[in-house]
Amino acid sequence: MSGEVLRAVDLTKRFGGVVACDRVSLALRRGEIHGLIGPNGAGKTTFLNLLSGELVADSGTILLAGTDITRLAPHRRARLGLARSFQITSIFPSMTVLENVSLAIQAHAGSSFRFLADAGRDPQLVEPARLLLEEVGLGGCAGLRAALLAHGQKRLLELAMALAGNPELLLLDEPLAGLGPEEGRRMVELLAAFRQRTTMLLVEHDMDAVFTLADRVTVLVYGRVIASGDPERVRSDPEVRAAYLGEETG
Amino acid sequence: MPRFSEMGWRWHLLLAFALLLAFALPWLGDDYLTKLATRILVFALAAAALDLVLGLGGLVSFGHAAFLGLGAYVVGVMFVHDFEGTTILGLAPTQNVFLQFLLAAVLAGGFALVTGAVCLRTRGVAFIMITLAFAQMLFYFFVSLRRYNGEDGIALWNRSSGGGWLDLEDLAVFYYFALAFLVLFLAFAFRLYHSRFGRVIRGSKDNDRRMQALGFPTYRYRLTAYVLSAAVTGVAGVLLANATYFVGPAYLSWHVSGQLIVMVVLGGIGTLFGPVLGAALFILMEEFLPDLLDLVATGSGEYWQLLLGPLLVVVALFARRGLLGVLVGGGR
Repeated sequence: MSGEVLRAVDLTKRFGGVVACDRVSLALRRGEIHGLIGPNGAGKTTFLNLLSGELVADSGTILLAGTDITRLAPHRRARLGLARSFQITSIFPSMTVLENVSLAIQAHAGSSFRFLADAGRDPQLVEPARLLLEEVGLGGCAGLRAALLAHGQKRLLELAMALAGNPELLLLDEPLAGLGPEEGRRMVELLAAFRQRTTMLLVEHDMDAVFTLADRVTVLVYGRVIASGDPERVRSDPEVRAAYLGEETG
Repeated sequence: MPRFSEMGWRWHLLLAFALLLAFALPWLGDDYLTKLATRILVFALAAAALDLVLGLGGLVSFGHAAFLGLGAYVVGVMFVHDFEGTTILGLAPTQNVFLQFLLAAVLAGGFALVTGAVCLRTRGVAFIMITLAFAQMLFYFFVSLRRYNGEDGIALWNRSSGGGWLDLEDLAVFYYFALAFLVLFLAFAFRLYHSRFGRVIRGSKDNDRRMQALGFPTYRYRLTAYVLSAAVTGVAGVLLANATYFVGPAYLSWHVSGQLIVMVVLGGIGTLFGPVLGAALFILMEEFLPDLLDLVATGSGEYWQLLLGPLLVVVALFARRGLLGVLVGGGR
């Protein structure tokens, strides 16, 4: 099991009469980038939310590095090394860029029941945060209020926050959403550069990005896995072409 | 909220002026002014404590009067038993102000722990209403508590004892005593703002979902902040009873909770020092506005709150960081 970071077995989630995830199973190998694609409404975000704990599955199990996390609260899963980014940028707008990342580091750096010492002068928090900001190219904006960043910069900031604490598994929900072509290319380069550090489950609509980055791809349609495996095989799978890629590439 | 070392000259000027005024005031020797200023200090402490959850945590507690009242009733109940020479729950009563502080903090904090555990499972309007409900519950409890005069309350004949070395009956001594607690708490709160704990509380206000995804059990931190805020408000209650020589259920009424919120908003929400200014402004208005209005039109004084309403609207629209924002900038 050491080669496997995550195993989801038969995850099912219903919203009223709609089955958003229908017995979805997925195993992620350590170190891979796994693309999760599918048309709008296929249940990709629901699946991520089941994994991260924002939603609880109606049935099925989730193992993170062998530990059953199916019913754990989101913060417990995060503590076990599961990080995520959100489809709609999710940062702390009233804090500075550096404070945003420091806070993400803080989640994994000992107790936060410390009431007096200035967290802004805690090298245990500030130094790793600065390093991460340099890596994503936001080193120059460290002192800026996060609300003032451009959209593309906010996406980078969110990536830096997700990488804080060296997660076992990183769930990325459309990291390229809303980015221009140039910014998108930067993001793809960054994700490629971080490939060694963590395992990623990448939900993304940009097919070029997915097929550039992913070691394997899973296709979700109407809450069901219709194909999974090697990107080339998935791309040429007739069912996938009919259900999804066909309408996408026109 | 800048760190002390990062404050601009306007901040420094404001703090220096406030400290100077606060220290010098009893020297004017005007008993009326000293009493008024003492009341300001007490409410400033309660308002600053409320700002810990309201401003930093984004938790609109509409029940902080309960904690203030609990603190005040510690003084009242102790006075009654000491006067009668009876015991309370089998224990001898104490009029020692420090023991009363401790008791008030434990009782208010304990009440906050139990009720907060429920309240903090809700959000937004539900949180406001449920904090109000718990406070009203306690209000009616004290109203119906015949043993301690129900809604008539308890008139105190003396202040708590200062442990033998502080004569709290002395106006100036009591004033400085209250000032010391306010300054101590503000110093603590300023540090807390930038501490790890403060960041978690503020982060949870900004984006609680993000905080949980990062791995913070935010409920625990919010509950801690709520209890801390309540305990300090309880201490303010002990001071309030001593300042007014009176304890009654009126201290727990929702008006008082509302007034504390008004003070925080007027002074500058989330700024910790702003609520001190807000408390001063509110109490000064309450004290002098009626007379001023009566000068303009006889009998209009009792409607002074008609002016408070528009003022709050103006602050909400144009000075989101309240009076403090106007004075030191950053009002947005």
